[in-house]
Amino acid sequence: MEAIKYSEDIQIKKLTLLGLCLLCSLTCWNTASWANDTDTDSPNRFSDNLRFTLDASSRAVYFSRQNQTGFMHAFGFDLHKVFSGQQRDIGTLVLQGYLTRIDNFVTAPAIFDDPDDTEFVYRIFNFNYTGLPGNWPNLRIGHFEVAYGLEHAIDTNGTLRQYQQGANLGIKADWGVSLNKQLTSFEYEIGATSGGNQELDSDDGSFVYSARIGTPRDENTVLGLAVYKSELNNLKRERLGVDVRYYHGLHGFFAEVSTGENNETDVLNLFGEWNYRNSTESLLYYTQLSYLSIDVTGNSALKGIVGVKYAPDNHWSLSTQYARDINVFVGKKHQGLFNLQLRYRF
Amino acid sequence: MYLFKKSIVATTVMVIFSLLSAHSFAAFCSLRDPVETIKALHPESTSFKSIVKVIDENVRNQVQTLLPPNTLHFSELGKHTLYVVYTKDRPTGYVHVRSEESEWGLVEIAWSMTLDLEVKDFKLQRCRSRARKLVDTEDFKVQLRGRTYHDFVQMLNRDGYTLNTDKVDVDPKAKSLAEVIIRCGMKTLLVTELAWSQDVQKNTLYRGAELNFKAMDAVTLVDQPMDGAVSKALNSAFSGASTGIDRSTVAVAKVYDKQQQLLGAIYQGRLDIDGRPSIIEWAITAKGEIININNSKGWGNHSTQKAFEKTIGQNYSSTNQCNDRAELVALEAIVTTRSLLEN
Repeated sequence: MEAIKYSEDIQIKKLTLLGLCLLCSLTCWNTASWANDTDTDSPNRFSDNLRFTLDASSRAVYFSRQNQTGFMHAFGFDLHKVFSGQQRDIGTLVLQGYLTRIDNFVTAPAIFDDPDDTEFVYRIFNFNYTGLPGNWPNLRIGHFEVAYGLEHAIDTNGTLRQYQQGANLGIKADWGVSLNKQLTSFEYEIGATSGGNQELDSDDGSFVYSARIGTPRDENTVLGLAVYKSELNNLKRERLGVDVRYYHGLHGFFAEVSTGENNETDVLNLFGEWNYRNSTESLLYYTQLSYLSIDVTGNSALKGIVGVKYAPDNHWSLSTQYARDINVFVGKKHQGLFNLQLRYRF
Repeated sequence: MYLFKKSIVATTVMVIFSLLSAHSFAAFCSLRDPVETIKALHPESTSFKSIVKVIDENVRNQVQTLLPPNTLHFSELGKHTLYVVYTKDRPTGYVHVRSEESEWGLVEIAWSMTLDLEVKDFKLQRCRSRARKLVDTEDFKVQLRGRTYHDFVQMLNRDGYTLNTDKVDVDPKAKSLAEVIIRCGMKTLLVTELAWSQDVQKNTLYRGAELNFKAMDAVTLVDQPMDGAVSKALNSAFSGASTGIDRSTVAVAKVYDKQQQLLGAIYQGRLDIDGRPSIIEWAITAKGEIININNSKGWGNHSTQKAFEKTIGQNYSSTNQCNDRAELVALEAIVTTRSLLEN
């Protein structure tokens, strides 16, 4: 039965990929037909307004509790294509798919079946229709990040640096639809997704609703307010969150507070980060503290993280990070993770 | 040990493969939605369209040659977008975002430009300096509006890096940030001209056609205007001599009315006038008469302007009719256009 389900999942992914490629081709064809014959430089080829790169990374992780080292290798593509009509942009297609192999990954992410496994992983894989005029929202369809917290405005796909979205919400990105827009004084995204994570849908009635409204992400002080409701693997979650980013010169101070329930048990999640970049922004240092409390009896976990990322050019990045449990939930054991990652974008 | 060896092999393969690659790209899912920046800089706009081009080592080398000691930071290389802004279906300007190194990290500035590549306004999209509020003012911005690439060059001292305080007035506390903004603006104007030259040329030709031919309905750009018959006609008219127009920069658009009748053409070419590189644009009827002439960079002095404008209404056919350089270059524009319209 498992083999049949696995085969069906592969089929669904292939069909999705095919569908999105078809959508892309049709939009391209339409774009070409809209081009004015007096406008000889109008985008009418798929290569126009296209960014495409291959992306490869290798990560080694030392698990201190098990005293073992695991590896994760990812090789995939990153495609960004803006579709334009005669005088306006119509939408943006972002496709990121990675063949990901883990070896001896003793605490494997949920999308893998065991510590030694290979999966095709969708990161961001969606089309955002931006063709509506004025303040009408954009419509996004596909696989995208859940609209919640710090993670929403910061790209962490394929990086060691994360914002505990998975630990707090149970999911980081999902298949579905959203309404979104960046306006002068605020931006927002309201999403409804399937809860299937890497799968298009789920058989167990899972769902995710999320919404975040925030001040413009480029300002030196950014505030966000988010709500979240989901049912994933029969665990119901509700969250209300506030996120803050403040930049002072080369320093950045981030914080996120989440409160809510897991199956009617109170949850409080606190997160803080201090980061520092050099003036050329080739070096990033950061330290994070993450506190998660489930129920009111003091059952809580505290984790500390320090990391460095060195990116000398547009191709290479070398990152390292050490994460250590300072306090763990009752019945759990302390874990320390040392990560080292080399990444190259072609 | 076996796993470790496998991973080492995988990493080695990745490194070898990467060394064979030559292209450079930035992360894509973090690219921003520009709609609000465009609306802030061009409030009158009704739509915009992206044109993505590669800013490569060739452009970087040209920037280094023309603007030493300035160069392009690695984040400025790769594929970048010029947004063409439309107002009621007509192109009216551009928006381009560039980043500049500073002591506070990269400062990201969205520049709005006219079709003639004069600065219309700017917006500090990302700036971690505390002096930001001192330059985000009308007093500072007004000094940059309407300025061209050459004006920006003069706003810096001869070192090409520090602020020429005779040209720009700014609070001393914001001097470093003002230098960053001027350098960024200067590079933006140059890079736009280098990397998007065809798009910029196309839009100004379209505007020229619309302004000079009231019955205009359609415009067709001439592909490779200096090929074949045109070269022959120019050689014949000038006996192989040059009038000073850089023929590699010539662009011509044929203009038609609703009945597909040829009304004339817009001719553009680069020419050095009084030591300054200028883009001259002639509007010429189907019969070869000059109906307008325009210098997108400004004429510099009145006598030059007068000399060129006196060719309006003329229809030259040989060098014998020409008494000065303005008439000679007008003849070249007419010979080229006539040859293209006849074919």
